[in-house]
Amino acid sequence: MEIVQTSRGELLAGLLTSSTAGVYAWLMPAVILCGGQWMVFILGALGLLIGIQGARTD
Amino acid sequence: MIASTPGWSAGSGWRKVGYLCAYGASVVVGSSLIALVLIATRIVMSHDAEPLRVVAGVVSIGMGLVAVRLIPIRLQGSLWRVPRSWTRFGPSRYRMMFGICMGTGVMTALASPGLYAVPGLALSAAHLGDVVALVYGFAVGRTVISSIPLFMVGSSLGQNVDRTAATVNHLRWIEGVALILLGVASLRLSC
Repeated sequence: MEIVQTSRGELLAGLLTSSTAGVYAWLMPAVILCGGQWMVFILGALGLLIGIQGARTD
Repeated sequence: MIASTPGWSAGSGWRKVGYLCAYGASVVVGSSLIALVLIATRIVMSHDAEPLRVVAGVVSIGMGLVAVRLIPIRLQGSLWRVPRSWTRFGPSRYRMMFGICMGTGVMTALASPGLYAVPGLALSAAHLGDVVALVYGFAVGRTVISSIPLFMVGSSLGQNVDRTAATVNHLRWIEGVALILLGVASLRLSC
């Protein structure tokens, strides 16, 4: 069995990825169902995601 | 790979944390500048947001398709980069200027195609709070993702940046779906 060493940074990146995915999975239907009432959460999450995508542009 | 900030990993312990805090605060300043521009523009244009919602919806859907690479085009954004010669101002000032430029999101290479949809979504948002959430969400994401490679072990900073970028690259699918659904929601609100 191969043992893979994971650094704190990789764990944090993985946690960030899965938690952002979770937020979207649960909140996205609310955009359609609530007619924009949840837009502030969704837009905030979108902003967070766009910022995260800037990992390489720094 | 675009090079990381020179001297980014300099220092250790609390000094490194201090540098990160200065950088994070500068990113917020840069994002605040963009927020002010968007909010001022939104106030001026507040009379008729309906046509803008249609444009924002179409652009958002288009950028969502670009994000998931169903539309195979590469959007680079600005070709300008923070000059490395600015390091002559000293490490602290350089990091602050670097952070402000990163915080605007538009002065250097684009973080994501989603940034093209941001102005439309912000200007057609129902409340000012939506604009604030969008812009400061970006600031938090940008600061956090810049910090992660500093705490990774076993490789050079450049390799750590590449590994982090490869990990978060999977999020482009979620971002693409989010942009498409936000576009649909925007079009729906315009009806």
